[in-house]
This record gives sequence, C-alpha cells and structure tokens, in this order.
Amino acid sequence: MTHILLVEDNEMNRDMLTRRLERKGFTIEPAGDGEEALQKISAALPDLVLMDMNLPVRNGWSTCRELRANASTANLPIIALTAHAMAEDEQKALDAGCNDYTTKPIDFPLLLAKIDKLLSSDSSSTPAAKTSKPKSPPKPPNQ
Amino acid sequence: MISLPRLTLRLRLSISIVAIVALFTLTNITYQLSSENRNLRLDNLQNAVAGQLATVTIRQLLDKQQKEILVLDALKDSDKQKLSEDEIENGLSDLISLQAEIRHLQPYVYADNTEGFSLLIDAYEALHDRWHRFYIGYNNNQMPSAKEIESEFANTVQSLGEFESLEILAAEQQTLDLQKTVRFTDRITLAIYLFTIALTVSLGYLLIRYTNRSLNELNLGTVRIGGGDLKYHIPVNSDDEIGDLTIAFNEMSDKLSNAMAQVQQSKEKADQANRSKTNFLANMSHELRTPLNAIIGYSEMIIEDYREEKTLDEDQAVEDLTRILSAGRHLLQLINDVLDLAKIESGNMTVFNETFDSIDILEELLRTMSPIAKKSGNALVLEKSENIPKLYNDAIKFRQLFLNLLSNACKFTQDGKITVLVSYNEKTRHAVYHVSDTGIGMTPSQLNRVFEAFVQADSSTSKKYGGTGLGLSISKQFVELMDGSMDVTSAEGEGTTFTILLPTRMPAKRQSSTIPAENQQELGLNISDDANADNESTVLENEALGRVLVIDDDPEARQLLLRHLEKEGYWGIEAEDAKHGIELAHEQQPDLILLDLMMPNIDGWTTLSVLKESESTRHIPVVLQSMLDEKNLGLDLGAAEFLPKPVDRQRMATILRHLNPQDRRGSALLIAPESEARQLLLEELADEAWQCMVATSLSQATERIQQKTPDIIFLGLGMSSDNVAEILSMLSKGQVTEDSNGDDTSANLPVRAPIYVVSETALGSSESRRLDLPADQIILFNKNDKGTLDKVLNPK
Repeated sequence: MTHILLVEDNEMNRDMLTRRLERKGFTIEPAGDGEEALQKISAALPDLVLMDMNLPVRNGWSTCRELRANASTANLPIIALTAHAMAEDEQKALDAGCNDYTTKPIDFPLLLAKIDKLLSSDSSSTPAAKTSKPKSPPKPPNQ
Repeated sequence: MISLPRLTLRLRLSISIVAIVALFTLTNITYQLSSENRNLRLDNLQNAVAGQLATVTIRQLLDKQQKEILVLDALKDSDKQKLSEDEIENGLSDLISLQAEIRHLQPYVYADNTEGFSLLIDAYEALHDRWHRFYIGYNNNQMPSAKEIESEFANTVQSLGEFESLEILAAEQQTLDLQKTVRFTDRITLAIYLFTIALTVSLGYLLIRYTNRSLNELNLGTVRIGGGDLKYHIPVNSDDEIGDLTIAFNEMSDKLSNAMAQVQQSKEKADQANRSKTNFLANMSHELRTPLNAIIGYSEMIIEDYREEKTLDEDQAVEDLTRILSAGRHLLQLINDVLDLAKIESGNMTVFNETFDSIDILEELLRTMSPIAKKSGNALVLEKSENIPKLYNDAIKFRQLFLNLLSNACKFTQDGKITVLVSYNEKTRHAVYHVSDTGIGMTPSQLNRVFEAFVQADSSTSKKYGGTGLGLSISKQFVELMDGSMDVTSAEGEGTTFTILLPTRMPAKRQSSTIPAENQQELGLNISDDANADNESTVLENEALGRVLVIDDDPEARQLLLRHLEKEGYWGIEAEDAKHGIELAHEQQPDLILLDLMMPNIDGWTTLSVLKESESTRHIPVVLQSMLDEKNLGLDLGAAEFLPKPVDRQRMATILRHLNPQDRRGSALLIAPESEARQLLLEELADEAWQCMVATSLSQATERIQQKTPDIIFLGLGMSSDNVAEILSMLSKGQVTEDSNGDDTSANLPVRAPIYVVSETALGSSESRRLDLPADQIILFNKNDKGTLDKVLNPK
C-alpha cells in the first residue's frame, strides 16, 4: 500500500483529492498546514508527499526546505500542488526542494503519472526504503 | 540712502573708456604745458643773445666815441683847431644814437637786473653830458677836461660790464628755472602716459579676466547641467548681465529638474502600477484556480463514478454538486469583484447621486443580515443620534459598502455583538458611521494591509471564512468615490471597528459625474427602489444647494424640471403662471428663476421685464426657457442664461452651478483691459464656478471692492507693468506709489484677498523683481498655456 501525505488547506480540494486518490488505491493521510505535515511525517514516513504551497502556519516552500534539511526526509518524493501558475512559481517550488510540480486545477491523469514516475525512481534510488510496489493496480473504489 | 547702480558689464566698459579718455586728455594738457615752457626757454635764449649783441655794439660805439673824443682833445692841444658846425652836429647826433642804442637795451633787461640797467643809464647819462659839453664847448675852449671825461667813460664801461655780467647771470638763472619746469612737466607727461598705459592694460585684463571667469563658470555650469546634474546651481557672483544670465540658467535648470522629477515620479508610478497589475494578475490567477480545481475535480469524480459504476451514491453526488455550486458562486463573486475594481481603477465607475436617508438603508440591511448574524450567534444593533441629515450621494454604493462591512463583521465574529453607530458632525457636515464587531480582530501588521487587494489577514482566514479578499479594497475605493474617508482600528482577539465619514452634501464638481438613469441600466448597476423614487420629495429645503423658482404653464414640463432640480439637490418652488411666479419671486426670494417664455396671458418676456424692474427681484438671476433659440435677445433684456427646451438635465445642472450663488467658490476680481485673454480667463473662472467682477482701472477696482469684497484678485493681462505695479501697491499696501489723486477710494484698502499678477508672456527677472511678489503669485496665462492658474484655483 502506497502511503501519500496530502498537505492541503482548502477543505474542498482536500476532500476531493483524498477521495480520488483513494479510489486509485493509495492510502491518504491528510494534513491542513505545514506544521501538521512535518509532525505527521516524523510520526510515520509516507512514500510521497503532495503539497500545496500556500499553506497557513507554515507554507509549502518552508516545509519543503525543512524536509530536505533533515537526513531522513532528504530524498522523500514531494510533488508541489499550487494555484500559482507562472513559470517562476514552478522554479520557486523546485528550488524549495520539490521533485515535481503540478498546477491547479489538477489534471488528474497527469498527477497520477507524476506520482508513478517518482515512486518508481524513488524505489530504484532508495531501494531500502520500503517494500512498496511502484503502483498497485487500480482497486475497486471504497464506498 | 544712495543706491549704487548695478555694476553691469556695460557700466564697467563705459567707466574704463571714460577713464582712459580722461587720462589721455591730461597727458595732452601736460604736453602742451611743457612745450609752452620749452618755447619760453627758447625765447629767453634768443633774448639773452640779442641783449649780448646789443651790449657788444654799445661797447664798440662807446670805445669809438671815446677814441674820437681823445683824438679831438689831442688835436685841440696841438694846433688849436676848431670844429665846423657840421662836425659838431655829427658828433652830437652820434651821441644821441648811442643814447638810443643804450635805451634800446630796455626790452632785454631781466627783472633781476633793472638796477644794473639804471646804473648803466645813469653812468652813461653822466658821460653823455661830458661828451655833449665837450662838443659844445670845443670851439670856446670851455670843454670838460680829458681827465674828467676819461673817468666818466671808465665809469660807464664798468657799469656796462657789470650790467652785462648780471644780464648773463640772470639769463642763466632763468634758463635753469625753465629747464627745471620743462623737466618736471616732461616727467609728469611721462608718468601720466605710463599710467594710462598701465590703466588701459590692467582694466582690459581685469575686464577680460572677469568676463572670462563669469563666462567660464557659466559655461562649466551649463555643461554640468547639460550633463544631467540638474540639481547644480551655478554660483551667482555678479549683479550684471552675466549674473542675470546665470539666474536665468539656474531657473531653467530648476524647472528642468522639477520636470524631470515629475517624469521620474510618473515613471515610478507607472512602474509601480505595472508591478501591482502583474501582481494582481498573478493573484487573480491563483484565486481563480483554487475554486476551479474543486469544480473540475468534483465534476470529473462524479463522471468517473457514473461511468465506472453506472450508479450514483445520490447523497454523495448531491454533496459534491453542492460543493461545485459553491465553488462556482465563489468564482462569480470573485469575477464581479475584480470587474468592480477594474472599473474603479479605470475611472469608469460612475457615481450616481441622489438624496437618501442612510438610516433607512442601514435598517433594511440589518434586517437582511439578521439570519446570517443569528447563525453565528451574533447580535446586530443599530444606534443613531438625533437628526442625522439625509445624504446626497450614491445610495447603491452606500448599500454595497455597508453590506460588505456587515457581512465581514458577521464572518469574523462568533457569539458576539455587531454595532452600527451613526452620528453627525455638524462642524464638518459629515455623517459618521462606525461598524464595530467583537470578533477575532487583527494584528497591527494585518491591519496595515487590510485595504490591499487579495490580502486577507491570513491565508488561513480565507480558507476558514471564505471571501475573495477584494471586499475591503473595493469598499475603500467606494468611500473615496463617494468623497468620504474610511479608517479602521482593531485589536487582536477583541474586535474591529471601521469608521466611515461621508459628506452630507457632495461638492459641486462631483455632481457632473451623475449619469442619467437609463444609462445605469446599461452599466448593469442595480437601482434600488429608493433611487427610483422620483416623485418623492427627498431634498430638504434647508439642506438644498439652492432654491429655484420654476415658472411654466405646462404642468408636465414643470414637474420634469422639479424632478431634475431635486436630483441635483435643489429645492424647487413652482408657479403655474406669470402672475403667481412674480408674487412668489417677491415673497420667497429664490436663488434662481427658471422662466418659460411661451405662456398665456402674460408671456415670459413681460415677466422678465417685470422681474428686472422691481427692486426686490432685480438681483435674482433668471434663466429663460424656450424651444426657439432666443439667447441673445434674452441676455440683452437682462436674463442670466438661456436654456433651450427640451431641457437637458446635464446642461441645466451646469447653468445652475454657474449662477447659483450658494454654490459659488467665491468672488473673483479681475483687473485688466478688455482683451481676448481676459475673456478666456473669465470663462475659465466661470467654469470653476467663481463669481467674476471686472475692472479696467484702479478707481473701478476700488469701486468693485467696496461693492463686494473679493476672495481672490487677478491683475494684469495686457496692462503696462507700471500700471500693474501701481495698482498692486495700492491694493496690497493701501498707498499709491506716485501722485495720488486724492480720492477717498482707499477706505477698503489694503485688501486681504490674495492678489495674483497674470501675464500672457513670461515676465523678465527685473520686471518680476519690481513687482515685489513671490513667484507663485505670478501666473502665466494665455490660450495655449493655462500655466499655474489651475493650481491657484484648486490649491488641493
């Protein structure tokens, strides 16, 4: 089971993404802000983080840098999700340490492809991480 | 006190030339003097030589005579010979010629030597006497003895010798004196000559050096200023033509520098605007994407559900669709707000003014908001003081503004109290509104940015409380459009208070932005019921901008006019015929009369003449109304303006503003001869709603001032600068510079109103110095350049 931490403060977007990703067979742990995300990561390391950048308490960029500064999370795959759509916004996210970047409104198949790509390269670069499968075949959606 | 003339270049040159010419003349005079002395010396020498020659001759003659006497004497002794008559005659005449010869010495005798000369004469006279007697007594043997003659002769010769030597001495002495004088004058001539050369050279040098230095400094300065250092001021170290040039250059560089600063400022402003536009766009993109994300996401999900399972969990679907709807609504709100902001920013947001009771609107708003307030457990309270006047402002914007503030207050307050407090500041004639809540409040840094677009106190608040982050930004802009001000105070955790000040009357200028109701529909503005309440009298008489009497027999036309007047904030009085109209004009003393020309019984023309003939109604401006253009005739007969039918409200408003004294900016006195420029200035002043008085001379001006004290005075425009200076001094100091004509017109002088000198062309520095006015009181005004007039008329 692939564990994804979804950091998103907008309730609607969080609910929507959680449900859609769960249908694709991921286990989703939601977080509402940067601090909460850091706590949850230190409690249980996820396989991948989907992170909104405009977050209350601690924003996405700061959270990313914090994660990259820490040895245990230095290679944790992070995909930035943001409504900031300018080219410099993408660069800003990548500079903060995100592995990839996708803009809202989210192109869901594209997001899935990006998750897929990151997880497969992650498992090859850090083989000792977990016994996670690159991608589990789509499971029947939860109720 | 003697004032030294300005040491101008011309003066310097003139002084130098005069000095050189004077010295040259002096040189000439001394030269003349010395040459005269030289001539004297020459004469003296000639004199001395002639004298010498004469004495030599005399000596020879004396010797010859003596020898002759001695020979005759010896002959007498030896042969007793007698002299013939002729011989005696000859001898005597010889003696006389000798005497004459000696007397001829007189002119050569030097002043010092007159004594020697008289001695010589005396000695010779004695000798002459002996010789004379010798000849006379020769034949009778009664002649003086040879010894006696010899002794006299010796005496004479000695005298001659002494005379001669004294003469030489005197000649030498005089020559010496003359030589001294000549040498002295020579020296003086040389000295003056040398001095002239030195003076010419040094004056030339100084002049060249001085001019060069000034020009150099000027040159360096202009190069420096030309190079972009506009702040540089060329030092002014001379009060002459170059000094003037320098001052002019400095003024030019100041002006350039100001212009550059303005350009720089507007560039910065443009850059800033550009940055905020980009920022705004980025923010907007962000704000639009967030709800779109939910809309697209949920929609896709529902479609997936349906496609994959062919069934729908209806409850879940409704919940999701509700979310889509909510996100969609949020999006719409966002777009509306952005459009509002864009409209305000581009200046296209119009203000539609009408008279309304703000308390009514607030009460209605509180009723609307109460369900929302109850949901979050808030109490909504309206507190008001007595006698809140009605507003003449944009009721729709007022409503939107308070709706915004109240919903904000509800959003950020839980189980608290929201209070709207209304009061009236009589001094400033502002209605004061406080909207306070006991909600979460703001930190000082949040407070600082609260009116910025897309800024919510914290991004978490928007997620928690919703909203576009544009509401307050729009509200603030609205208040400014409404000519009011908005402020906010807040303490974190304790609540927030917004304070809004709105004028109870809009300034005259703003009213022109009023747009007709039909255009409003096109602009998509909602018109509240109050705004359409045309027939309801909404202007209070004492709050009105002015009282206007409408005399028209046609009831429809009258009603239309009255409605227009009300909307413009005037109090209307109606009269259905001329008779009633004239009565009302006497009784009510309106500020203005709108008079229809085509009326039964007594027509408009007659009414106009009746009104203008009566003492008590003569001063009321009458605006004529007619289908036909009878403006010129009307104005000739004493009407103030002409308003063609059908009435254009905009035009009517403009005319009312210009004529209605209550609405005036003040009275202006314009002192200038009749000219095109004066007409232009008068029109400009009338456009700015000034009441204008005109005078062409000082006496006329003082008359006008006695009639009505002006608030501002303009002077000049085609008047000679002497005249301007004189009138200016009379007006500002109460005294005439030159001959006062003794009239007691100066009772009201000096005036307190600011005086501005208006000129069609820029004044020279000497002219403006002479006027003794600060530069900002001198206005350049012609048909191409309104100059600083606008700044003077609208100091804000």
